[in-house]
Amino acid sequence: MLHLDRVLEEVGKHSRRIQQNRKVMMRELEMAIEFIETSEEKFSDTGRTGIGSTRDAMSYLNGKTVCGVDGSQIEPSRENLVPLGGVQAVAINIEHGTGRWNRDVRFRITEWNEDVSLERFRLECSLAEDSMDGKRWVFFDGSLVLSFAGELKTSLRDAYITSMKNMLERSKDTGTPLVGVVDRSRARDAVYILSEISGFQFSHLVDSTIYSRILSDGEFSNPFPCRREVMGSYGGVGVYFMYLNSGGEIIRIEFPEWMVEMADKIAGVVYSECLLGKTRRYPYILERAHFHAVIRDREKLEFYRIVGGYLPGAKFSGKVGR
Amino acid sequence: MKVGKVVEVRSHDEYLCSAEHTGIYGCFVRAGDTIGIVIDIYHPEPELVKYIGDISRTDGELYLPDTFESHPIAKILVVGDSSGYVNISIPEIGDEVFMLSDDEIKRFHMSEGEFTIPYYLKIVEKLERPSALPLLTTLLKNLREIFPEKERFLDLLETNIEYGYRIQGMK
Repeated sequence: MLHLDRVLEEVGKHSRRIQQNRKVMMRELEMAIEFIETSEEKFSDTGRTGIGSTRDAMSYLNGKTVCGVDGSQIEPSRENLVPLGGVQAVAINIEHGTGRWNRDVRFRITEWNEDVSLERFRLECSLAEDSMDGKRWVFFDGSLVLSFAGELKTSLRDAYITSMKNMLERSKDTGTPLVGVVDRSRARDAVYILSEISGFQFSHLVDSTIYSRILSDGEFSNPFPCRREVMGSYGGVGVYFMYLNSGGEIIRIEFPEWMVEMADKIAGVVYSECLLGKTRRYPYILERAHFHAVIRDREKLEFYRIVGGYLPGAKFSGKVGR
Repeated sequence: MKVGKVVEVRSHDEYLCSAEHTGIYGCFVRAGDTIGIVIDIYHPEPELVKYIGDISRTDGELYLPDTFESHPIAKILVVGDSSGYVNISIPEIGDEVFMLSDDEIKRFHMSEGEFTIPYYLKIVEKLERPSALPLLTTLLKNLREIFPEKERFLDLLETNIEYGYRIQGMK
């Protein structure tokens, strides 16, 4: 039970600090906007998709094949004494305008000593790679810049980065556009660039706060190269990022360096996909990949029941491990 | 003939099956060790309704084709198992569901050489009046084809059921 009286007491203590932070953030935001509007830098350059309705979006996508990749995982269950887990990756391929579609599903059991999250990531990347044929656009659910890997032990970090690098290289080798989409991004790459060129420190801002003031619905930013430390481990394979206002939501789009001249097309395809989505703010193809990939709690129970049936000592208690 | 797979077990005598066909209302099926009757069949809400908005159905088929994927769901009442007319077993999720052959239906309805409809009262008790009457009528029609020699008895039973439901309001 949440004890609201105690929560409100704590909120009261923190409210002054929150208000102060907000004031600083607003001041920084005004400074940033003023600098962007008066400077000659390409920061203020934006593009428009020119797509205004669902009908426009369908016309834009007509004849294009898009592929969304997402995954899900089942941790080993201590409660059910099942030491095995499972990872699943799904690619949904839709040929817009023809009604043709298919689903590629991969599943594998993970051993007790394997890192389930890593195995899921590997399966997703290898499925995305196998989907790259130069004829479709591949959408990846999440970032192509693995900053979190820097905090992992070397073997895990290397495994994550190798999978990502392979996927980026395969995209270039086959000429298959690859886009990673992140909504509600807290990234600060553009803020760092802005700090660098303006000489001001914007410590309270994130990229999406700035772009929510610059971009109107359907507009997108210039692409910038991502220069985070982790990129040094990518062996020269570059990743660019840009921002797009989709229905009032600023979404971050990442793509391999070889696509940098295609910014208009990338924004057009991503924005059109968003207009077909449930919320109009996130690409349809990724919503559907998630729908087909997610493993629900009752399905996890079923997995434990099936796998436990083959394991001596496993005892099915009906609990879902978290 | 395969009907589909068990997707939900609701109680000791009711389960749901993701069906591959729709024309199975009132049919006898088996899943695992259980024998049951298809008492309802329906389409779950397709994903399309979440997306349709200002998109026509035709555009939906062309641009959002995977949202049309949906299998009919058959609700099945378990009426017995291989040990008799009281079901001891329950099906498991994922069990395959098969249509009973005419021979299996015959065996299920014969007890010590006598023709019997052991689940009749169960259906009457379990189902609400608007659902029970068409189900019993369909069942009796199917049984007439398998047991032509029992036609007179089945006709009488049907008349009695209709009288019970329509005239007396029997549940």
